[in-house]
Amino acid sequence: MIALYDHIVAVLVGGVILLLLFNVQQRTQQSSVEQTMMYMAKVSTLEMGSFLERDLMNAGYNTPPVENGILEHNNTGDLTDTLLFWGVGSSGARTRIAYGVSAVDSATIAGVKVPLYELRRYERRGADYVRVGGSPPTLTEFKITLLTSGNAPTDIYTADKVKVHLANAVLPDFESDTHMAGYRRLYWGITLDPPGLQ
Amino acid sequence: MTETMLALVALMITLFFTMNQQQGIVQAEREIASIELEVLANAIGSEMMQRIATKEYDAATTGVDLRDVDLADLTVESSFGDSLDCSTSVCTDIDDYNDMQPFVDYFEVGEDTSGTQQSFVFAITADVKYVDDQGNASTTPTWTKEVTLYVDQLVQGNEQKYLLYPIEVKRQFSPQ
Repeated sequence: MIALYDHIVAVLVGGVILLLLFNVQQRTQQSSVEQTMMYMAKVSTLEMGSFLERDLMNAGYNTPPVENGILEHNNTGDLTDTLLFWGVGSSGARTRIAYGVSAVDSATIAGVKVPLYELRRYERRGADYVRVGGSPPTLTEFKITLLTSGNAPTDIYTADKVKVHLANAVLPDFESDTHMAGYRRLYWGITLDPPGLQ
Repeated sequence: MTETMLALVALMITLFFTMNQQQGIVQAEREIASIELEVLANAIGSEMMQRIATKEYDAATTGVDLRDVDLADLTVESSFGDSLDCSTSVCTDIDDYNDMQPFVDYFEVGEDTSGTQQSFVFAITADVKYVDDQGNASTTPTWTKEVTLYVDQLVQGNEQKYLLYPIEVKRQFSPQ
Protein backbone atom coordinates (compact mmCIF):
# COMPACT_ATOMS: atom_id res chain seq x y z
CA MET A 1 0.00 0.00 0.00
CA ILE A 2 2.81 2.39 0.96
CA ALA A 3 4.67 1.60 -2.29
CA LEU A 4 1.54 2.33 -4.31
CA TYR A 5 0.98 5.58 -2.42
CA ASP A 6 4.61 6.63 -3.11
CA HIS A 7 4.19 5.93 -6.80
CA ILE A 8 0.97 7.94 -7.03
CA VAL A 9 2.60 10.91 -5.26
CA ALA A 10 5.64 10.70 -7.52
CA VAL A 11 3.48 10.70 -10.66
CA LEU A 12 1.45 13.68 -9.39
CA VAL A 13 4.56 15.66 -8.45
CA GLY A 14 6.18 14.79 -11.77
CA GLY A 15 3.09 15.98 -13.63
CA VAL A 16 2.98 19.28 -11.74
CA ILE A 17 6.69 19.83 -12.35
CA LEU A 18 6.34 19.18 -16.06
CA LEU A 19 3.38 21.57 -16.33
CA LEU A 20 5.23 24.29 -14.40
CA LEU A 21 8.35 23.92 -16.49
CA PHE A 22 6.38 24.01 -19.74
CA ASN A 23 4.51 27.15 -18.64
CA VAL A 24 7.60 28.95 -17.44
CA GLN A 25 9.51 28.03 -20.57
CA GLN A 26 6.74 29.35 -22.81
CA ARG A 27 6.40 32.61 -20.87
CA THR A 28 10.16 33.19 -20.80
CA GLN A 29 10.34 32.69 -24.55
CA GLN A 30 7.44 35.11 -25.12
CA SER A 31 8.98 37.71 -22.84
CA SER A 32 12.31 37.43 -24.60
CA VAL A 33 10.65 37.90 -28.02
CA GLU A 34 8.73 40.95 -26.75
CA GLN A 35 11.91 42.48 -25.35
CA THR A 36 13.77 42.03 -28.64
CA MET A 37 10.84 43.53 -30.57
CA MET A 38 10.77 46.52 -28.24
CA TYR A 39 14.50 47.17 -28.73
CA MET A 40 14.07 47.00 -32.49
CA ALA A 41 11.05 49.30 -32.38
CA LYS A 42 12.94 51.74 -30.13
CA VAL A 43 15.85 51.95 -32.58
CA SER A 44 13.45 52.36 -35.52
CA THR A 45 11.39 55.07 -33.74
CA LEU A 46 14.45 57.06 -32.66
CA GLU A 47 15.96 56.86 -36.15
CA MET A 48 12.69 58.08 -37.62
CA GLY A 49 12.51 60.89 -35.05
CA SER A 50 16.06 61.94 -35.77
CA PHE A 51 15.40 62.04 -39.52
CA LEU A 52 12.16 64.03 -39.05
CA GLU A 53 13.93 66.49 -36.75
CA ARG A 54 16.72 67.10 -39.28
CA ASP A 55 14.36 67.29 -42.24
CA LEU A 56 11.78 69.60 -40.68
CA MET A 57 14.40 71.92 -39.15
CA ASN A 58 15.22 72.77 -42.78
CA ALA A 59 11.60 73.69 -43.57
CA GLY A 60 11.55 76.98 -45.43
CA TYR A 61 15.26 76.70 -46.26
CA ASN A 62 16.49 79.75 -48.20
CA THR A 63 12.92 80.95 -48.77
CA PRO A 64 12.59 84.69 -49.43
CA PRO A 65 10.33 86.51 -46.95
CA VAL A 66 7.66 87.09 -49.64
CA GLU A 67 7.20 83.34 -50.15
CA ASN A 68 5.89 80.60 -47.90
CA GLY A 69 8.31 78.00 -46.57
CA ILE A 70 5.43 75.54 -46.30
CA LEU A 71 3.44 75.13 -49.49
CA GLU A 72 0.69 72.65 -48.59
CA HIS A 73 -0.56 71.07 -45.40
CA ASN A 74 -3.58 68.93 -44.77
CA ASN A 75 -4.69 67.02 -41.69
CA THR A 76 -7.56 64.55 -41.74
CA GLY A 77 -8.50 64.05 -38.13
CA ASP A 78 -5.38 63.07 -36.28
CA LEU A 79 -3.51 62.12 -39.42
CA THR A 80 -1.41 64.35 -41.64
CA ASP A 81 -1.91 63.12 -45.18
CA THR A 82 -0.02 65.90 -46.98
CA LEU A 83 2.85 68.22 -46.17
CA LEU A 84 4.78 70.03 -48.89
CA PHE A 85 7.60 72.38 -47.98
CA TRP A 86 10.84 73.89 -49.20
CA GLY A 87 13.65 71.90 -47.65
CA VAL A 88 17.02 70.35 -48.30
CA GLY A 89 17.19 67.34 -50.61
CA SER A 90 19.59 64.43 -50.32
CA SER A 91 22.00 66.26 -52.67
CA GLY A 92 22.14 69.17 -50.21
CA ALA A 93 20.32 71.51 -52.59
CA ARG A 94 17.12 73.42 -51.84
CA THR A 95 14.14 71.52 -53.17
CA ARG A 96 10.49 70.76 -52.52
CA ILE A 97 9.91 67.94 -50.04
CA ALA A 98 6.57 66.17 -49.82
CA TYR A 99 5.29 63.92 -47.05
CA GLY A 100 2.40 61.60 -47.71
CA VAL A 101 0.85 59.24 -45.20
CA SER A 102 -1.30 56.38 -46.38
CA ALA A 103 -2.88 53.33 -44.84
CA VAL A 104 -0.97 50.31 -46.05
CA ASP A 105 -2.05 47.50 -43.83
CA SER A 106 -3.87 46.54 -40.72
CA ALA A 107 -3.16 44.04 -38.03
CA THR A 108 -5.57 42.14 -35.86
CA ILE A 109 -4.12 41.74 -32.44
CA ALA A 110 -6.09 40.04 -29.72
CA GLY A 111 -9.26 40.74 -31.71
CA VAL A 112 -8.57 44.45 -32.20
CA LYS A 113 -8.09 45.69 -35.76
CA VAL A 114 -5.34 48.29 -35.94
CA PRO A 115 -4.85 50.35 -39.12
CA LEU A 116 -1.20 50.84 -39.96
CA TYR A 117 0.19 53.78 -41.89
CA GLU A 118 3.38 54.47 -43.75
CA LEU A 119 5.07 57.84 -44.16
CA ARG A 120 6.43 58.37 -47.67
CA ARG A 121 8.91 61.14 -48.31
CA TYR A 122 9.38 62.54 -51.79
CA GLU A 123 11.86 65.03 -53.25
CA ARG A 124 11.20 67.11 -56.33
CA ARG A 125 13.78 66.31 -59.01
CA GLY A 126 13.10 68.11 -62.28
CA ALA A 127 9.39 67.77 -62.98
CA ASP A 128 8.90 64.63 -60.91
CA TYR A 129 8.70 63.69 -57.29
CA VAL A 130 11.03 60.85 -56.42
CA ARG A 131 10.53 58.76 -53.30
CA VAL A 132 13.47 59.20 -50.95
CA GLY A 133 12.97 57.77 -47.49
CA GLY A 134 10.01 57.29 -45.23
CA SER A 135 8.97 55.15 -42.33
CA PRO A 136 8.24 51.49 -41.78
CA PRO A 137 4.54 50.61 -42.28
CA THR A 138 3.90 50.45 -38.56
CA LEU A 139 2.67 53.97 -37.74
CA THR A 140 -0.65 54.20 -35.92
CA GLU A 141 -0.52 57.99 -35.49
CA PHE A 142 1.26 60.70 -37.45
CA LYS A 143 0.29 64.32 -37.08
CA ILE A 144 2.09 67.51 -38.02
CA THR A 145 0.60 70.70 -36.62
CA LEU A 146 1.69 74.16 -37.73
CA LEU A 147 2.01 76.66 -34.90
CA THR A 148 2.55 80.37 -34.47
CA SER A 149 5.48 81.63 -32.39
CA GLY A 150 3.02 81.64 -29.46
CA ASN A 151 2.23 77.93 -30.02
CA ALA A 152 -1.30 78.52 -31.36
CA PRO A 153 -2.42 76.28 -34.26
CA THR A 154 -2.25 78.10 -37.57
CA ASP A 155 -2.06 77.68 -41.36
CA ILE A 156 0.80 77.63 -43.86
CA TYR A 157 0.84 81.43 -44.22
CA THR A 158 1.68 82.29 -40.61
CA ALA A 159 3.46 79.15 -39.43
CA ASP A 160 6.58 79.73 -37.33
CA LYS A 161 6.83 76.33 -35.71
CA VAL A 162 6.19 72.72 -36.66
CA LYS A 163 4.93 70.18 -34.14
CA VAL A 164 5.29 66.48 -34.91
CA HIS A 165 3.61 63.64 -33.04
CA LEU A 166 3.80 59.99 -34.01
CA ALA A 167 3.11 56.56 -32.60
CA ASN A 168 4.93 53.49 -33.84
CA ALA A 169 3.28 50.14 -33.15
CA VAL A 170 5.24 47.23 -31.79
CA LEU A 171 3.60 44.26 -33.43
CA PRO A 172 3.93 40.63 -32.50
CA ASP A 173 4.90 38.24 -35.28
CA PHE A 174 2.08 35.93 -34.36
CA GLU A 175 -1.38 37.43 -34.75
CA SER A 176 -3.10 34.76 -32.70
CA ASP A 177 -1.09 35.76 -29.65
CA THR A 178 -3.53 35.55 -26.79
CA HIS A 179 -1.09 36.77 -24.17
CA MET A 180 -0.96 40.33 -25.50
CA ALA A 181 -4.20 42.00 -24.49
CA GLY A 182 -3.38 44.76 -26.96
CA TYR A 183 -0.29 46.11 -28.60
CA ARG A 184 2.38 48.48 -27.43
CA ARG A 185 3.08 51.80 -29.07
CA LEU A 186 6.16 53.95 -28.89
CA TYR A 187 5.33 57.64 -28.95
CA TRP A 188 7.69 60.32 -30.20
CA GLY A 189 7.14 64.03 -30.75
CA ILE A 190 8.88 67.37 -30.94
CA THR A 191 8.11 71.03 -31.56
CA LEU A 192 10.61 72.62 -33.91
CA ASP A 193 11.39 76.25 -34.58
CA PRO A 194 12.91 76.11 -38.10
CA PRO A 195 14.96 79.23 -38.94
CA GLY A 196 13.50 79.16 -42.48
CA LEU A 197 9.99 79.83 -41.15
CA GLN A 198 10.86 82.94 -39.14
CA MET B 1 9.27 6.70 1.49
CA THR B 2 12.48 7.40 -0.42
CA GLU B 3 10.47 8.14 -3.57
CA THR B 4 8.27 10.63 -1.70
CA MET B 5 11.28 12.42 -0.31
CA LEU B 6 12.94 12.59 -3.72
CA ALA B 7 9.71 13.86 -5.29
CA LEU B 8 9.46 16.60 -2.66
CA VAL B 9 13.07 17.64 -3.25
CA ALA B 10 12.36 17.76 -7.01
CA LEU B 11 9.28 19.88 -6.34
CA MET B 12 11.27 22.28 -4.16
CA ILE B 13 13.97 22.65 -6.82
CA THR B 14 11.35 23.28 -9.49
CA LEU B 15 9.57 25.87 -7.36
CA PHE B 16 12.85 27.65 -6.75
CA PHE B 17 13.66 27.55 -10.48
CA THR B 18 10.17 28.77 -11.42
CA MET B 19 10.31 31.67 -8.98
CA ASN B 20 13.66 32.66 -10.39
CA GLN B 21 12.30 32.58 -13.92
CA GLN B 22 9.21 34.56 -12.91
CA GLN B 23 11.43 37.25 -11.39
CA GLY B 24 13.32 37.39 -14.70
CA ILE B 25 10.05 37.83 -16.58
CA VAL B 26 8.94 40.64 -14.25
CA GLN B 27 12.30 42.35 -14.77
CA ALA B 28 11.92 41.97 -18.56
CA GLU B 29 8.44 43.55 -18.37
CA ARG B 30 9.87 46.48 -16.41
CA GLU B 31 12.57 46.94 -19.02
CA ILE B 32 9.97 46.88 -21.80
CA ALA B 33 7.97 49.61 -20.01
CA SER B 34 11.19 51.56 -19.50
CA ILE B 35 11.92 51.45 -23.25
CA GLU B 36 8.57 53.18 -23.93
CA LEU B 37 9.56 55.94 -21.51
CA GLU B 38 13.10 56.14 -22.90
CA VAL B 39 11.72 57.06 -26.33
CA LEU B 40 9.50 59.75 -24.79
CA ALA B 41 12.39 61.07 -22.68
CA ASN B 42 14.58 61.18 -25.77
CA ALA B 43 11.96 63.27 -27.60
CA ILE B 44 11.74 65.64 -24.60
CA GLY B 45 15.55 65.93 -24.54
CA SER B 46 15.74 66.61 -28.29
CA GLU B 47 13.15 69.38 -27.99
CA MET B 48 15.10 70.98 -25.15
CA MET B 49 18.27 70.79 -27.27
CA GLN B 50 16.44 72.59 -30.07
CA ARG B 51 15.53 75.35 -27.61
CA ILE B 52 19.14 75.64 -26.45
CA ALA B 53 20.32 75.70 -30.08
CA THR B 54 18.40 78.95 -30.62
CA LYS B 55 20.42 80.70 -27.87
CA GLU B 56 23.63 82.66 -28.26
CA TYR B 57 26.89 80.76 -27.91
CA ASP B 58 28.13 83.05 -25.15
CA ALA B 59 27.35 86.41 -23.56
CA ALA B 60 30.51 87.71 -25.28
CA THR B 61 29.26 86.67 -28.75
CA THR B 62 25.89 88.34 -28.39
CA GLY B 63 25.24 91.10 -30.91
CA VAL B 64 28.85 91.43 -32.04
CA ASP B 65 30.91 90.39 -35.04
CA LEU B 66 32.46 87.01 -34.14
CA ARG B 67 35.77 88.10 -35.70
CA ASP B 68 36.06 90.66 -32.91
CA VAL B 69 35.70 88.06 -30.17
CA ASP B 70 38.75 86.44 -28.62
CA LEU B 71 38.73 83.15 -26.68
CA ALA B 72 39.80 85.11 -23.61
CA ASP B 73 36.53 87.09 -23.85
CA LEU B 74 34.37 83.98 -23.41
CA THR B 75 32.73 83.12 -20.09
CA VAL B 76 34.95 80.93 -17.91
CA GLU B 77 33.43 77.69 -16.64
CA SER B 78 33.32 78.87 -13.04
CA SER B 79 30.99 81.67 -14.17
CA PHE B 80 28.54 79.40 -16.03
CA GLY B 81 24.90 79.47 -14.99
CA ASP B 82 24.02 78.05 -11.60
CA SER B 83 20.47 77.21 -10.55
CA LEU B 84 18.85 79.54 -13.07
CA ASP B 85 15.17 79.06 -13.87
CA CYS B 86 15.36 78.43 -17.61
CA SER B 87 11.57 78.11 -17.96
CA THR B 88 11.66 81.93 -17.93
CA SER B 89 13.57 84.21 -20.31
CA VAL B 90 16.55 84.45 -17.96
CA CYS B 91 18.67 81.92 -19.89
CA THR B 92 19.93 83.84 -22.91
CA ASP B 93 23.05 81.91 -23.86
CA ILE B 94 24.09 78.26 -23.83
CA ASP B 95 26.09 78.24 -20.61
CA ASP B 96 23.16 79.73 -18.68
CA TYR B 97 21.61 76.24 -18.85
CA ASN B 98 24.43 74.75 -16.79
CA ASP B 99 23.06 73.31 -13.52
CA MET B 100 19.71 74.95 -14.21
CA GLN B 101 16.76 74.29 -11.95
CA PRO B 102 14.98 71.10 -13.09
CA PHE B 103 12.94 72.05 -16.15
CA VAL B 104 9.58 70.28 -16.06
CA ASP B 105 8.07 69.16 -19.37
CA TYR B 106 5.39 66.65 -20.23
CA PHE B 107 4.46 64.38 -23.11
CA GLU B 108 0.84 63.62 -23.97
CA VAL B 109 0.27 60.09 -25.21
CA GLY B 110 -3.46 60.16 -25.90
CA GLU B 111 -6.58 59.28 -23.98
CA ASP B 112 -7.21 56.28 -21.78
CA THR B 113 -10.38 54.17 -21.93
CA SER B 114 -12.27 56.70 -19.78
CA GLY B 115 -11.35 59.56 -22.15
CA THR B 116 -8.86 61.20 -19.80
CA GLN B 117 -5.76 62.68 -21.40
CA GLN B 118 -2.72 60.66 -20.40
CA SER B 119 0.67 62.27 -20.07
CA PHE B 120 4.07 61.55 -18.60
CA VAL B 121 6.01 64.26 -16.76
CA PHE B 122 9.78 64.63 -17.04
CA ALA B 123 12.39 66.75 -15.28
CA ILE B 124 15.39 67.95 -17.29
CA THR B 125 18.71 69.04 -15.82
CA ALA B 126 21.79 70.13 -17.77
CA ASP B 127 25.54 70.19 -17.62
CA VAL B 128 27.56 72.48 -19.90
CA LYS B 129 31.32 72.35 -20.45
CA TYR B 130 33.95 73.45 -22.96
CA VAL B 131 35.48 70.70 -25.09
CA ASP B 132 38.57 70.73 -27.28
CA ASP B 133 38.87 69.57 -30.91
CA GLN B 134 39.10 65.94 -29.77
CA GLY B 135 35.92 66.25 -27.72
CA ASN B 136 37.79 66.16 -24.39
CA ALA B 137 36.72 68.47 -21.55
CA SER B 138 38.70 71.69 -21.50
CA THR B 139 39.20 73.87 -18.44
CA THR B 140 39.83 76.93 -20.62
CA PRO B 141 37.31 78.44 -23.08
CA THR B 142 37.14 76.91 -26.57
CA TRP B 143 34.85 77.43 -29.57
CA THR B 144 32.84 74.32 -28.68
CA LYS B 145 30.46 73.86 -25.78
CA GLU B 146 29.06 70.44 -24.96
CA VAL B 147 25.62 70.27 -23.42
CA THR B 148 24.52 67.10 -21.64
CA LEU B 149 20.86 66.86 -20.71
CA TYR B 150 19.61 64.39 -18.12
CA VAL B 151 15.95 63.53 -18.53
CA ASP B 152 14.21 61.63 -15.74
CA GLN B 153 10.58 60.69 -15.20
CA LEU B 154 8.92 62.80 -12.54
CA VAL B 155 6.43 60.93 -10.40
CA GLN B 156 4.11 62.25 -7.77
CA GLY B 157 2.51 60.44 -4.87
CA ASN B 158 1.80 56.81 -5.64
CA GLU B 159 2.51 57.09 -9.36
CA GLN B 160 4.58 54.31 -10.83
CA LYS B 161 8.05 55.19 -12.08
CA TYR B 162 8.58 53.29 -15.32
CA LEU B 163 11.83 54.87 -16.51
CA LEU B 164 14.49 52.74 -14.84
CA TYR B 165 17.37 55.17 -15.40
CA PRO B 166 17.52 58.84 -16.51
CA ILE B 167 18.56 59.17 -20.13
CA GLU B 168 21.38 61.41 -21.38
CA VAL B 169 21.20 63.52 -24.52
CA LYS B 170 24.47 65.12 -25.58
CA ARG B 171 25.15 67.73 -28.26
CA GLN B 172 27.98 70.12 -29.11
CA PHE B 173 27.50 73.72 -30.15
CA SER B 174 29.73 76.29 -31.82
CA PRO B 175 29.01 79.95 -32.56
CA GLN B 176 27.08 80.45 -35.81
